[in-house]
This record gives sequence, structure tokens and C-alpha cells, in this order.
Amino acid sequence: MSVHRLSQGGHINRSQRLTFHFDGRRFFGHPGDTLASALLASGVRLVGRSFKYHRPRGIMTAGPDEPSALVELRERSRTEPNTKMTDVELYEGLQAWSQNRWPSLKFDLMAVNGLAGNIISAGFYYKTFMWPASFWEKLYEPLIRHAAGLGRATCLPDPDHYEAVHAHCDVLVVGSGPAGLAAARVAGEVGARVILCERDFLIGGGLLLDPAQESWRKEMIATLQGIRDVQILPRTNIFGYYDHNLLGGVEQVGDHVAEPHPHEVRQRYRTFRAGQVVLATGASERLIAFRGNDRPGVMMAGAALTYVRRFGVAPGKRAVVFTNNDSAYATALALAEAGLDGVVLADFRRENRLAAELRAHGVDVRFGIEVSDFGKDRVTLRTPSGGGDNVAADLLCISGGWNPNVHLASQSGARLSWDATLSSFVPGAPVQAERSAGAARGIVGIGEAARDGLAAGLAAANALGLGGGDIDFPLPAPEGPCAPLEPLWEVKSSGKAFVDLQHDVTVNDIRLAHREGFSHIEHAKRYTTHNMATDQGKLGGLVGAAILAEARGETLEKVGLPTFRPYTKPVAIGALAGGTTGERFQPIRRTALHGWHLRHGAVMRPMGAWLRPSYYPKAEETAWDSVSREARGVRQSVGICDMSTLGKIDLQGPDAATLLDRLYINSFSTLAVGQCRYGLMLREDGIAFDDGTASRLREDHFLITTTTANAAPVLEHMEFYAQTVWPELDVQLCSVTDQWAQIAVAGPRSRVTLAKVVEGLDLWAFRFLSVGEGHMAGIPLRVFRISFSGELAYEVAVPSRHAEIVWRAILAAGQEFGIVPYGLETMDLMRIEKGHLAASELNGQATAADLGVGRMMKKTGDFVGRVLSARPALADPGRPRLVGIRPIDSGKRLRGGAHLVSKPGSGRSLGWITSVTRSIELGQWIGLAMLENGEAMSGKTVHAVSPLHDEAIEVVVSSPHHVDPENVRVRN
Amino acid sequence: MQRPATLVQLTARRGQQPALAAAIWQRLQLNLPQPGHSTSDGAYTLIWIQPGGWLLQAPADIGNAFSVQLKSALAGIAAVVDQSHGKCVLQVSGLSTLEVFARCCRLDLHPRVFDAGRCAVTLVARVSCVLRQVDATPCFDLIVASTFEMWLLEELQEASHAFGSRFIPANAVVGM
Repeated sequence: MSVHRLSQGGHINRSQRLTFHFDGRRFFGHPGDTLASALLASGVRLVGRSFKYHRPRGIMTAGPDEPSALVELRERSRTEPNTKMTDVELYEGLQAWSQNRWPSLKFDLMAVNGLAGNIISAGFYYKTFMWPASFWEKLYEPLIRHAAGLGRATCLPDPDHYEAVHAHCDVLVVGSGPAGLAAARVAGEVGARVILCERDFLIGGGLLLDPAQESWRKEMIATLQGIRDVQILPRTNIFGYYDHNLLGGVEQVGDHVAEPHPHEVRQRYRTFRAGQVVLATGASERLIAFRGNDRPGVMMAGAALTYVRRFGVAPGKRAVVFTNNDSAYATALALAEAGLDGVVLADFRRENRLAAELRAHGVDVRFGIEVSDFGKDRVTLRTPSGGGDNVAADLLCISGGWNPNVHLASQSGARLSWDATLSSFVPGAPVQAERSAGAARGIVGIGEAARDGLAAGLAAANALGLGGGDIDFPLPAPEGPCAPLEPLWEVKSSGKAFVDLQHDVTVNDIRLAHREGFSHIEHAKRYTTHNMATDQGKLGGLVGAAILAEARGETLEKVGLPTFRPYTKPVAIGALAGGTTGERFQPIRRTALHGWHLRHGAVMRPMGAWLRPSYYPKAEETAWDSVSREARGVRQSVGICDMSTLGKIDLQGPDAATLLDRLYINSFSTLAVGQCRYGLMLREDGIAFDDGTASRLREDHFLITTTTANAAPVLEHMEFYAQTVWPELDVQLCSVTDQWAQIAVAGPRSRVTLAKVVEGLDLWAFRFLSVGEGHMAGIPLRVFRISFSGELAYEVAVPSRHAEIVWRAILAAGQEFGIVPYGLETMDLMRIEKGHLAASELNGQATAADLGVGRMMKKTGDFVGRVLSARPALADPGRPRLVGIRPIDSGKRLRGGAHLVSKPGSGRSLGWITSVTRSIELGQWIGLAMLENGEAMSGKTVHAVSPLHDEAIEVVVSSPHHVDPENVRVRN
Repeated sequence: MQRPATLVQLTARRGQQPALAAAIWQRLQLNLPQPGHSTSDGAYTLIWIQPGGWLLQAPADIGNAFSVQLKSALAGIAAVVDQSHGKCVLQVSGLSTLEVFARCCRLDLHPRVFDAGRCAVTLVARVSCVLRQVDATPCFDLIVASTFEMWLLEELQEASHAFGSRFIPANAVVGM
């Protein structure tokens, strides 16, 4: 048994020993320990160095409010920096390293910063590293980063798994102390669906510190486990309270083992949608600012009590307890009972009725005393009259009072209200369906908190219409009133007195912030970084505010606290990402022909959610080889392409044509049944939105295609107008994108190929821009004579589960003509040659006129976007217009995104290249571009510059239709 | 498991909802369900999917003729669109069903809230689905766009990883 481990008591299993390493040294602990309690049991006092001054630091608390005892946990890919050792459940084989020390924890060179402390005061970095600006990136920042900072994150991929789980309940209870347990039980017993979350690995909160309450704790847990609709979640910290009673939490499923179970996640991100919330989050003890209040050996009184009672550890050999309230009397008593010598209780107040009992246990109780300094194993006590006394002690426990943990209540929107009795803030009137209970709203005493929790749980259930019946279960006896606290924020003396130990913020920094005009609590926070560390100022936040209040000459109530924001405790990004990483990052959409593409060697490319074949390389072929071969195959004979990703919208109803007339810039009411037409939609602001075709299947039945990317936005756009703007129109819309697979068959031999397959449709009488119905072996087909490639072409729509049958039949029919399957790259190549638009041109900035389709606008009749498209800036003829470009030197390549300038080095861009390809028809690079005064520039030369590639080449401007501008081929 | 089915989307023409309800009753003896609900006789199921819109789930082997007949029967009353290829049905059942849904769906499916016959159009595994409780064993039908079927299946298997799961593919292709 180690020197500081008590022989009995606590919630640890002494019969089992766990081995772990800290800074490479081997230690032992027990199940039930935290890393902090096991190190304290082994007599370790110095565990880290502070952020700015590199001062030695020890273990200060026993929970997530810990500012100092931060470690790097685990190794290699599982490294986790800045973890509070007070919040780490011990496990066999645990590895941890101290942080922020160089070269070693005991001897740290950066500690000289402490000597320069008067210089490195608040705002030091803002003031010092302002100029010259060029020094910032090269010198100042690396220097500061080396000197400051905490742990180091790993750059290796995380080997563990995470998941998100969504839960709903009637009553969510946060915290499992006496109030939380009572609230959960009463709500559960009246039939509410209850979830009880506890951040700790043991249920019980403050009950774990009182052996007399152990049987009640066990009985409550057993009862709750027996209620069907009550779920208890230990190791689950609620990190945020959002609108509509939505709360977020993280369950640490596998953090207390060396490696998570192979089928289990490390952490589980949880959301809770609760009818009512009971916040039984307890209270945190607050600091007192005095010289040396950060030295190893200083510990919050409540934490010291926790180490004795819960972990069976004596956190020191000789102790002084410094308090301004009653709670620390339990600590002094526990320390004396644990066998510490000469425990001194220094009470700032004048008297207390509890003194007699403590004195009977050998505690030296002194009143009207302040601690003015803590040096190496020596506490300086001072009376207000100035008398002093030095007491030998290696442990100094302090209690400046208790702050209700109001973080979640505050996040829920409740304002905080000042409680003079506690000298702290308590949750004010609820805004959402929540209530605080127990210590979280300033109720003192276990019996009192349990009663308050019961009332809160019942009220929550009642608010949901549940309740009635006699709910009665035994509760711990009330403790009765305690003596009032006397506010004490600071013991003034020279030297550093800290209000934020993790960010090394002192009382003088707060005063400096005020002197320099940063007097608002939010400004002082940012100027000094007070409260901005990973502990969010849980210990000293209110103390800093009190110092600021004194400096401002105002009350603490008026100065207030900075806004509480999520997260209440640091959250790993991995937990928030859950399982949605790697291939599961976003949904994957596969066409009905996906399997065929894979079997035939297609290189697949993600486009939005879709996976589409990019090209089908044969052995030894490069990408360009493959694309050129596919494109030549189409232009010379026939090719086949999976176009199923096009958005398809079925539009029916007597007013279908009217709706289309109002949404497209061109008319569709004039379209004959059996005909298709190209159309363009504008956004309301007059910018081009999407292009596609509309086909009239019957008088009151249209089929619309959209670009792949805009399938959902176009349907939304149409639904919006149909439902809200023109509800009088009788139209019915529905997406049939997935119902129909669509196969493009393009090239001069497309007709003879398809004619072998399609029955019931005379393809020779089937003119350009027609739609008709046919069939193949009993499979119904819709055939469209439209062309994206610029060749004679058809698109065949087939019910998607039959897509492969039809696809293969067409391939077989085209075999004699050397039919080639072609992918996206070839499609893009051919549409650039042809000058057709795609997403690079429909970029949310171009108007119809910019894109060269302004003449499509109907002369009469309104449509969405018409009015705003006539705004002077949009109608300006000088705007960039769509043009074609090609290098004058046919050996040069073009770059998408290159800027067009009048001469190299010109600082003024005349436009940019939107799309480029290696044309097979022209045997050189060609492109589409947006160019100012584009039409007038035709035939002229400009320069395409790409500074990224250090390139500038001469290009000649042309029509965007590089191939077949007269549209002869498509009409063939 | 995959459940082959014939699926037809019905959208009432403006003001024709009563006529649609009457026509459906005459043909199938089923009521048009209210929002969030479905009606079923075991073979045919009507699911509310949007204001004025229902999805009719019919036996897979009923054939293409069914939707053609329905189309003519409902001419002037509703838009009838065959979605048998556009959507597919995955059925999820077993003891851990609710645990699996808690991992990929944000709705409250507690039996007190969402009982047999209830349905919702919602995101499951981040794709839009029609979710319907078939019975309280519990057993749910998920109707999803067929291009997302593989994704949804993989995600459901991922979500059921910790509980163990078995996938039963459809042994017959949906009829035309």
C-alpha cells in the first residue's frame, strides 16, 4: 500500500491493482481511481507546468474543473492532449505524460518567464508583436507557439470508431447526485420516460463522499434500474443545451480501457430531445486569490474531501484548510480522521458553532484568519490586524464558497440572478422547459437537495400531464441551516495571485485590463484570456469578475459573468463527426448501371452524391488516351453513356404548361405533344439558374430534365412557386429521377444502332427534338431525340431495374459499328467542343444574355427573373459573355480558371476560362470562357494567364461553338 | 430485408381529394390516411407522403397493368406516377430495431409515440425515406429512392453492427 493510501474507505477496489505510467515512471492504483487520485496516492505532487509562466503545478481539484493537472494521454495514434487527470478513469496499462515542460517537468527552462512576469502581462502579445508585420509569420508566431500552448495532438489517423445516437424522453435529468436521483426516480415512478445522465463513471455525485448515505445511494440506483422507462447513462457529459430542449452529450464508452472493445465505439455522441429537463448539475467550489494560490499542494477543500472519502487517499501530510464558509469543516474533519497531523482550519469569519466538534478531533480552528502566502511547505497566516504566523504544511485546502453549475441553465436561455447568501449567481426564470434542482440552484445539504430534486422531478412530470398517485420514498434527513458565508475574493499582497490557473491570469492582469479600458466583463475576458482555457474558468471565473467589480467600483451583481457557451467540457472532434468519416462522409448514390460500369473497368468519380463513370480505360491506356478514343468513337460512329443522374421531374395537370411558361424564359404552352424543347430558368434575381429540356408527353403531362447538380433545387423551386405563389394552378409535381434510367446513344450510327433495338417507333420519321414511346422485349421505353454531344443522338429512358438489359441490348446492336461506352470526361469534351453549358458556366453569376441564350427570352408574358434580369448592371453589354478560345500556338495547353488579360502582366482581368479540353476535332486545346465584350472580341487575341502555373499564352477568341455551329449533325 | 413491391405515387388534382378518396375506397376499400398515417389491408397499403399525396404500396407481382388501370380510373382526379423502379422497400425488424434507428434517424419511435400504421417522411442515414411502422413487434418499412438503396443498406448494417444483423435480399425482381 502506498504512503498516502488510507487503509479503508472509499469507492475503490483495493483487492485489485492496476499498473500505469506517468512520464515513463511506473505507478500503481486501483479500480475506481482516477489518474489524479492514483498519483496522489503515490505521493506525486508536481504534475505539470503552467501555460505562460511555466510555474510548477499540482492537482487542484477532483473533477472537470481542473485547471492545472493536464496530461497527454495514451500513445501514438491514440494520443489525446490536454486531458484533465482528475477526469481520467484509471485503467490497466494507462500511459500519460506531463505537458508544457522543457526539457523536463522538474527543471523547466521556460520558467524564466515567471521572472519576467511583470512584462508578460495582459495584452502583452497584442502590444509587443504588432510590427513589423512581416515578422509575424516568420518569427513571432513560431516563437509564441513554441513557448506557449499545451499538449501536442497526434497527426496519425484515429484508429477508433465513433457513432451518433439520438434519444427522446419525457424528462432528462442531468446529474446523479441526491437531487438528480430523486428527480429521476419520482418522474420514472409516475410513468415518464426518463434519461439520467452522469458525467462521472460512478452514480451518486456528492453521495459518494458520505459513507452514511451509501445505502440510500445503492437503493436509489437499484430502484431506478428496475423502472422500465428509466435509462441511466454514466460517463455521459451533457455539453450543450440548445433550442427546443435539444441537448447534446458525449458518452465515453471506451475511454476507460486501453483499447475499445473491437465492436464498440470509443465515444458516442448523443442528442437528447426532452419534454422537460431537470438540471441537477451540482456546484463547483471557487478559488480565493492570494499569493501562491497556484503552487503544488494547493487544493480545493471539496476536492481534498473527495480524495479522502471517495478514493481513500490522504492528499498531504500536514494540512491547512482556509475557508470563508461551513463546507470546508467537513474537509478538515475528514483530514483529521484520515490521520493527518496538526490540521489547521483558518476561517476568515469571526466564529462558527462547528468549531467545538473539530477541536475535539484535534483540529486547530482559528477565526478571523487569512492565508496571505503559500511557499514551499509553509503557509503564512495573517490576522486583519497584521499579525502573522507561519505554519508548516504540504497541503493547503481552500474554499471561497460554492458556485451553482449554471452553465446549462444559462445556455438554455435562462438569465442568471444574484444570490447574496451564496455570493454567487443562480439560474433565473426558465425560458425553455427546464428547472434546476439541488446544489445547481444553491440548495445546500444532501437531504435538502434530495427533497428539491423530488419536487423538480414531480413538477417536470406534472408539466407533461403525468403524475398523480402517491409517490413516496425515503429521503436522507435534512442537515439544517448552515452559518452564512462571508465573501472573500482576494487576500491582497505582493506577488502573483491567480484567478485563472490554466491561462496564468492574475488579479493584476484583471486590474490592468480595467485601467486600459477593457472594463466590460466580456472585454476583460478577451483581453486577459481569463475563463478562456479548457476549464472555462470554473474555479476562478467569479473571482476575476469580483476583482473587476472592485476595480470598477461596482457590485459583482452588476458586473456579471461572461456568457456561458457550449461546450461544458472539451469535446473531441471525432465524437462530433461520429461515424460520418471516410467513405461514409456523405451519402453515395449509384445509378442502376453502377455494377456494369464497375465490371467494365470504369474509373468512377463522385459528382455530388453520385458516383459516375469518368472513363473506361483499356489496359495500358492513360486517361487522355481513353477519353480521346471514346470521343472519336462517338464522333465517328456511335457511343453509349449513362445519363441516369439527370434530374427528371414529372409534371401533370391542366395548368402544367402555364407553370412552365412562368418558370422558363421561353414558352412551353406552344410545344406540341411529342416534342421536346431546350429551356432555361432564371433565379428571381435574374441570374441563370438551370437549363434542361421539357418534353410534352400528353396535353397535360410534361417530363422535365434538369442538370444533375440542380435536380433537387429545381424541384424545390417549382414546388415553391406551385404551392405558395400560384396555388390556383392545378399542377402535380413529382421526381422520377430514380424511376427512369437514361441512356444516351450518340454518333452518326446511333440511329441504325437503336433501330435494331427499339420496337414500336419509326426512328427515321422521328425528328430532332421529338419524344416518343417504344418498347424492347416488353420493357416500355421513352425515346428522346436530343443531343448534348452535338452529334445525331438519342436518349432512351427505361424503368431503372431493366436498365442493364436495355443497355446491353444496345451495346450488342452497336457492336458491328464499334460502339463505345463513354464517360463523363468524354461527355464534357464533346459538350465543350459543341459549346453547350454546364455547371462551370451556370455558375450563379451569369445571365441568359451572358451565356449567349438571351434571345430565347420570350417577348411577351412574365416569368421568374424577368424583371430583375433587366437591371442596368445585368443588362450591361460590357459584361463578360460566353466565348470560345483556343491557343494561337496549337501545341500549348489551356488551364481552367486562367484569367484573360489584354497583355501579360496587366493587372486587369477581362474574364476567365470556365472549361477546357483537348479537342479531338481540332486536335488542340480549346476552351469556353467568360470575356468582357465577348461578341465584339471575336477573332481578336488575348492572353490567358495562370499565375499558379507561371503561364501566359496567347489565345484567339471565337464563337463558343467550336464544332458544327450550324447544327447540321444533330438534325441529320 | 428487401421487400419487392409495386409502388404508385398518387397526387390529387386541385380540389379532387374527396373524389380521389371515393375512387380509392371503391377500388381498394381503403381510406386515404391522414398526415403521418397509413392504411393497409395487408396486401395494399396507402401511405401519406405529402399534402394531397400518397404512396400506394401493392403486391410486387401485380404487374404494370395495375398502374395503367389506376391511371385511367383516376383520370382527372389524380396524377398517377409509377415509382416501382424509383423506390424500393427495405424492411427492418427484430429486438434491436429501435436501437438501430436511434443511430440513423432522429424521430421518436417509442411505441407510445409512433405505433403501428404511423409513418413519416424523414431522413434516415441522411437520405430521405418514407418510414412506416408495419407492426409493433417492432417491424418497419423504409421506402427509399432506389439509387440510395445500397447506401441505406450499408448504413443500416453499420448501425446494427453492435447488435448483430442479417440481410435477406429479395429473391425476385419487382414485376414490370
